[in-house]
Amino acid sequence: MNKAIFFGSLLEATGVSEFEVHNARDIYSLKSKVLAEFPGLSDYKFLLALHHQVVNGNMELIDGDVVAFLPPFAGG
Amino acid sequence: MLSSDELIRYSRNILLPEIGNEGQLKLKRSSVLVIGAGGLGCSVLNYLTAAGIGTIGVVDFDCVDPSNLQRQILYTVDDVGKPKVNCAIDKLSKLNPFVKFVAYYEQITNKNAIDIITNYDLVIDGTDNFVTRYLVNDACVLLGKPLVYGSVYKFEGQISVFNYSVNGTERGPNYRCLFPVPPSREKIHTCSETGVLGILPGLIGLFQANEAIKICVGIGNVLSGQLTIINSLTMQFYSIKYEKTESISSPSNINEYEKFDYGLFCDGTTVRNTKEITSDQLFQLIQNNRKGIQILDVRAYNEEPYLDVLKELQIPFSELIDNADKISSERTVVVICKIGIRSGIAIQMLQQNFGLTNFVNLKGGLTEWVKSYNL
Repeated sequence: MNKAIFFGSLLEATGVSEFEVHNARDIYSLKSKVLAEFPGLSDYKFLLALHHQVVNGNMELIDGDVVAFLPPFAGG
Repeated sequence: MLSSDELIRYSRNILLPEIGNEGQLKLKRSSVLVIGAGGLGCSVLNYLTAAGIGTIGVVDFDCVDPSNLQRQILYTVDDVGKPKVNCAIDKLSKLNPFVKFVAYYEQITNKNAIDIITNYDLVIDGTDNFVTRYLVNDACVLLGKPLVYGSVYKFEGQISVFNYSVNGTERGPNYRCLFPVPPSREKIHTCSETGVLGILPGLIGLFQANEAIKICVGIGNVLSGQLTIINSLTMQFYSIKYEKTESISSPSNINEYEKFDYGLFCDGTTVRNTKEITSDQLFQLIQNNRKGIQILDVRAYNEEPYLDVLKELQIPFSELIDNADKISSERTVVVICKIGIRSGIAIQMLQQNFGLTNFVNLKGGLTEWVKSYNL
C-alpha cells in the first residue's frame, strides 16, 4: 500500500489530506489511480515528490512509499 | 566602519560569533530589493530594516486599503489611500535611520525589472500573482541575482531560495525548475478571493528575512534547491529537494525577456481552444498530404531529438513574434515542441497577436512522437 498526500488547493480539490493507493507499481500508476479517484485534480498543476525529492518522469514505488502532490500558489 | 551608535544598536547581532563585527558590516554593505509591500513584504521589511541591511529598495504600485490592515502590519488607519511604498519607508526610517531606502512607486514589469533589479545584491519576492513571480524570477536568472521566494495560500506557506551561488559556483535551481508552467487561470486563487490568516504571510516573510540575512552574512544552510512548506493549522513543516532542470520557455537574454508575453504565458497554458493532433494522425498527414501542412518546431536550436521527417521550419519560442512572417497562413501549421506545452502557448500567442487560426498542436510533443516514430 502507498499513500498520496495533498497540499494547498489540492486539499479542497480532493477533500482529503491523504489517500491510500493499492497496487501502484510506479509513480505513473499511482498518479493515474489518484486521478481516477479525484477527476477534478486533472485541472490542477502540481509537482510530485517521493522521499522528499521532486520526481521528474517515472519511478518505481515500493510498499509504504508516500508521494506528495504539491501545487504552486502565488499569494503574498 | 560601524559608528558607536550602530555598535550599540546592533550589539545583540554582533555578540553572536557567527555574525560579529564583520557580519554586521556585511549586512551594512548589502543591498536588498523587496518586491511587493503587502503581507510578506511588511514582515520582511520590518526585520531587514531592524537587522541593519545597508540599502533597501521597495517596489509596490498599490495604495493602502482598509482590508490590508489585518496583515500588512506597517500600515495604520492614517495611511489608507496613500501609496504603500511611501508609508512603509516613513515607518521604517523611524525604526532605523541608518538604512538607506529607495522607493519604486510602480508596478514591476519585464520593461523595468532589469533596470531596477540590477542595482541590488539580492531580491525578495513578496508579490501576489504568477505573472510577476515568473518575470521577477527570469530577471534574477538573467542578472545572476539570488531570489528569496515566499508564497501563501490560506494556512499554507512555501519558502525557497532560487538562483543561489556560493563563491561563484554554478547557480542553483530557480522557480521554473520547480514549477515550469503556471496553473490555469480558474485554478488561481488570490488572498482577496480565498482569504488568508494575517499571521501566515507574517511568518513566511520572517523566514524570507532569515534566508536573506543568512545569504548576506554567508552563514547557515540556505534553502537553495529546497522548498519548505509550512502549515500553520497543523504546525507541520514539509521539505522537498529539487534540482536544476532545463527551462521550457524562458527567455535566454534581456532582449527576449523584454519581448516575452508574461500575461499570455500565465493565461495561455491551459491550451484550450487549440486543436490537437496525435502522433499517429501527424504520421498519416505526412504520408498522405505532406504539402498541405507546414511543420513549425518551436524548440531551441540545440534541443534534441533531431528528427529529419519533421524538419521544416524551426523558430525558437522566444523568437516567434519577430519571425511570424515565415509562418504559413494558408497551409495547416502543425506546431511541435518537446512535450506539447510550449507549442500550445505558441499557438495561443500567434492567434492573439496575428489572428492566425490555421494551427494544430502535436499532442504530447516529440516525447510522444518518438515512442512510435523515432525517425
